[in-house]
Amino acid sequence: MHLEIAERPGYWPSSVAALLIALLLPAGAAAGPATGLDHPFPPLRGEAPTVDRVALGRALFFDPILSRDRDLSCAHCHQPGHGLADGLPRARGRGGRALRRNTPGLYNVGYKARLFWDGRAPDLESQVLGPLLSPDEMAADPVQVVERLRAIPAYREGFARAFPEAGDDAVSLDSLARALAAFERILVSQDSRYDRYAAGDRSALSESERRGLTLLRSLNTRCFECHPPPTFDVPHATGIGVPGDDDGAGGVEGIAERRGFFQVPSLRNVARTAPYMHDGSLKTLDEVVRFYSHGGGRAHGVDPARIDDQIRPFSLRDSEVADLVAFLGSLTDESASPSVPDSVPSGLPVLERRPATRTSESQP
Amino acid sequence: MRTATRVGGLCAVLLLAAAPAAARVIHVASGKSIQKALDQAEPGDVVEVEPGTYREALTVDTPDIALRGIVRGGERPVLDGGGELNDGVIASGSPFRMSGFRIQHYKGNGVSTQRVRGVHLEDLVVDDTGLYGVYPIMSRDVTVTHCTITRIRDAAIYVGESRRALVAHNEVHHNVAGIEIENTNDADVRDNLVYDNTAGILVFVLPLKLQKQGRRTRVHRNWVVRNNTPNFGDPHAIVGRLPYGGGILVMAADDTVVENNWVKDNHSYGIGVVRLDRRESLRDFALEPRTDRVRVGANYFYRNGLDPHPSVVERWGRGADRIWDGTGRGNCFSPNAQATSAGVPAPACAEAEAAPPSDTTGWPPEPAPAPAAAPLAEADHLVTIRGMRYEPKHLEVRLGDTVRWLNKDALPHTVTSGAGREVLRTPLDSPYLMPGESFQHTFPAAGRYEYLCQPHMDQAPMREATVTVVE
Repeated sequence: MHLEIAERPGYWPSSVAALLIALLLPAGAAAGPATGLDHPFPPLRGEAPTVDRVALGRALFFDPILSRDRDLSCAHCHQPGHGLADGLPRARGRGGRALRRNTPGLYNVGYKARLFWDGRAPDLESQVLGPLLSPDEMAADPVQVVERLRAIPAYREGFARAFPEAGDDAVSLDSLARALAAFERILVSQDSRYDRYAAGDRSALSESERRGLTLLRSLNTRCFECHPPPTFDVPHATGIGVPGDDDGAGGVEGIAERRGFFQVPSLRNVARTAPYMHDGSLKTLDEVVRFYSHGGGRAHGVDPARIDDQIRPFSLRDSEVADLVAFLGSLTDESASPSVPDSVPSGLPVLERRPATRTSESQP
Repeated sequence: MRTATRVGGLCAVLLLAAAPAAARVIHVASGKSIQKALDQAEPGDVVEVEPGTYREALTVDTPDIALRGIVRGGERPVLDGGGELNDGVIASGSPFRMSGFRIQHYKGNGVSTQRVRGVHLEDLVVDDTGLYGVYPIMSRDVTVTHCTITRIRDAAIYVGESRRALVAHNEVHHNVAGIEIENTNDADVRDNLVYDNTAGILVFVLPLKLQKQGRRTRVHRNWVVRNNTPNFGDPHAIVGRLPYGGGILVMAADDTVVENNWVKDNHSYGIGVVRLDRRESLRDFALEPRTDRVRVGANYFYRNGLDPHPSVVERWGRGADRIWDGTGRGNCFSPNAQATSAGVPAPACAEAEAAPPSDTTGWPPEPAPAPAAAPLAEADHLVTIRGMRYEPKHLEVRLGDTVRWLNKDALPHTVTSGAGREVLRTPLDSPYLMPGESFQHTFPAAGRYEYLCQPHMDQAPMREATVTVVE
């Protein structure tokens, strides 16, 4: 048993260590002097991920054993093929039930100051327990899930290795959260064509993409004020006025003045995570740019108190909208995309299609 | 040996890389593309532009570029957006220098520098460039000098989320705001001519920015006159709601010094010192909305506030040379028998009071320090609000004792008299206590006082808390 997990390819990939090392090295050689856009990322937040915890976290991430019905893993909503989101307007939970919000992609999530659209979790460790324990999502029972993991020798071994200081209590809800958080912290995306341009390779962006980068930094569009490089987000919630009655951050905080505020998502890999907004109501990036150009929710009769002062109508030519969307595509880098393991320690199927409710579009 | 060779070789490569190439001057003749020249430029180069009209929106991402307009016989190069292009110049390379241009008819902005260390904008003439004239943001070591900027729908000269800025010898008129220093530390605004704007000089801290504070701006030796132009900004934006007739307004920025300015004929007020309003401050509770330690020193006031905007009359009763809303700590106004005042009379400045020391720490700025709590000695009992609960929830005190509530949560809370979930507001009625803030109350009568937190009373630990006062 001790060796079994180590011998199975996929659970403890050496590629993880290689990735960690690659992160420490500079991106590919630049053709010219670095531009003024070449800013380092801020430090990763929270516990530094260790190889053992990341490997354990990866197995847990893909293992449906965590859900009450043994049919949902983290990866069912955070799919490697969809920018670590799910491609759906709103997430589907236990038994295919419709949830309230759009699944966010996970790239660079380790740099986030607050998690969830409404920012209610201050760190990844508390965030992962949300969907895990929510009765509408994975619906895990906190005692039962630990018992299940403890019953699987490969996990006993994996937890013991990842949390040696915990001794006999290595398998716990706390360790589970920390291992998943460690795994998520290495899902970085910092080597897009934009990054190569920033580092000095002037040929990395097309002319259209370069014009789009200029539009992002314009005081006409003001995109950069909430999506500045290098992370292309800011660590707070704000309101743009997507119509609807979801109070977001203001709802969980009890602050009326912040109703309709949501955490600002990063634009990295944004071309891979359609549809958009907290409710998935906009299908394409073209629609998103036009939504902002009309002043966000101001064009939809949303109470201006729910909308940031900087969200104002602006005019762009169609070719400029296309340039901006083209630039957003240059922010794609999925080199850290986790490979889907062939099997997981529970022996349950990995990323198997869920019941018909999940994919059927004919559901009311 | 092999290793030594390798190391030696590496050193040689590094030396080559570090050796500065001879700075070149790239000349742009009238009718040619400035952007093409900028794309060829290498760090240290100067791009020199002949007089002429250039229909371009420029980006400068290469570090250490000087973009120099040749001014000859009263002629200078004109960047003209034709009402269609978005921004005249966007620069990210550090440092960045620009001088000698006229910039006109853009939709967004004249010149913006974003996260640049070392910004030097000199002798620019900027007219009708949309929301801003020049817009250094998240930059440091900024100078904006000898520029003339007109007909801007927000601020002619804006410096935001930056540190160390000199804004001097500029002439700004017929804009909504003349000069705006926002969420910025250590700005020096002096010797500017600021007239015929809606409001002259603004020193603000606004919510939902990355940098949460603005401190130690010095506004001095400016001529701030006749800023009575009706507001033509977007009526939904904060700036679009500024009343006309404003001279110098300090809002939520701390340690500001305003002195030796010539403040004249501004119809609403000469110098105002106010807090950020509650609605705006609650949008960002990492921000400290009060205006503290502002020193309004000797200024020359003449005929301000004589024909105030209706909103000024509504709020203050009348216009005046000096207005203070009575909030904040450590604010003072130098005695001035000639000046008129509205709002709350401000304490007089002590003559010997020194200007606060300049800050020399680096970027990024330290987060705003939690407001220093008053020493516990002033209160007899302390209730801490932490983790969405009052600790202790039930407290017994003696008649005449003072109880202080200290918010150690990252969310705002209140201490409000109530019964169950019913809000009574008397005798306990605290403002929103921001993180780190406290509120205290002295109980003069015996009895049982129940209270709750208004935004969080649905959570049981945040209601039906009590103070019992015994003889």
